Amino acid sequence: MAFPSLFPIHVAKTTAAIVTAQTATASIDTMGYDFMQLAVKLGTEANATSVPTTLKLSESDITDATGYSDIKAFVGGTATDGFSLTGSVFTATSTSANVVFNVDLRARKRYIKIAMSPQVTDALFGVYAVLARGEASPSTAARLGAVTLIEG
Amino acid sequence: MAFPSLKPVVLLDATSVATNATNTSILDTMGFDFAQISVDMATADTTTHVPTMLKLSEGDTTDSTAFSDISGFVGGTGATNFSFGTPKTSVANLYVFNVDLRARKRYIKLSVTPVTPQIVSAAVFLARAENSPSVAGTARSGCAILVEG
Repeated sequence: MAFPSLFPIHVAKTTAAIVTAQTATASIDTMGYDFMQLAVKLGTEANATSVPTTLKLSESDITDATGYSDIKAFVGGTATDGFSLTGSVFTATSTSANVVFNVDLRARKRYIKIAMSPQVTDALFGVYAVLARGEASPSTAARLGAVTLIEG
Repeated sequence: MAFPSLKPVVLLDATSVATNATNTSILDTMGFDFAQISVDMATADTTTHVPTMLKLSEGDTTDSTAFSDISGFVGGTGATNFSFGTPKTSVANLYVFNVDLRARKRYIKLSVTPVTPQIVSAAVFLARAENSPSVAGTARSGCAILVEG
């Protein structure tokens, strides 16, 4: 099998809680790829109104914090925003990701930043990305940024 | 753009794993031909601190007795093992498994044991699906909200 050219990134992983109103952010360099899938996993919320205050993607040509602008389709909120944040999604106990973003990078700038603020202190926050449709396949551990690449 | 048929699965939430404790998680691969499993282990204390165990096993059922190790996907020094390489002491250590699922049983189990306490997380992206998991729903796309653009 010719393996697909996927590039995994553990964008954010922590065992510490994110407190109310704190914003966690992380940037991803997407250079050389046309597609990104981003999975966001949050802790179980106490009630259906405890949706994140902020959950969005922004983009920039540079990594400077002032260079980012929101990508409208990927800004969570009410019906007038890019997508709705439904409370029940975050109250259900699940081993699955809560929110998945499929991003066509051809129309996007090089750096994509995810920002998340919980409405109440959140027990868990993990963001996992995979870049796909690369110009070149990252077929070695070094190119993947990994210690070891095992294939079979 | 027609989006590729990828399905994310969080195998292990970021967890501090104690010395010689083993964390395991089982992945259901039904309907997919390829899996990329990435295991993130925190910065190593020294360059000799490779994991005590890092391996994949497979089974037709989820019963713990049903799993057998997959040759080539067991870390170690034996002839059929993969080599751990040199752990990084300044950044996190990422171990990536590219798995051709066509030759594998339905369930894949990840087992990881650090040699010293480390924060470990693991995620999977399943690919080459029989059917595209292109709509939200935990069973199909692995999430409750799916945003595309």
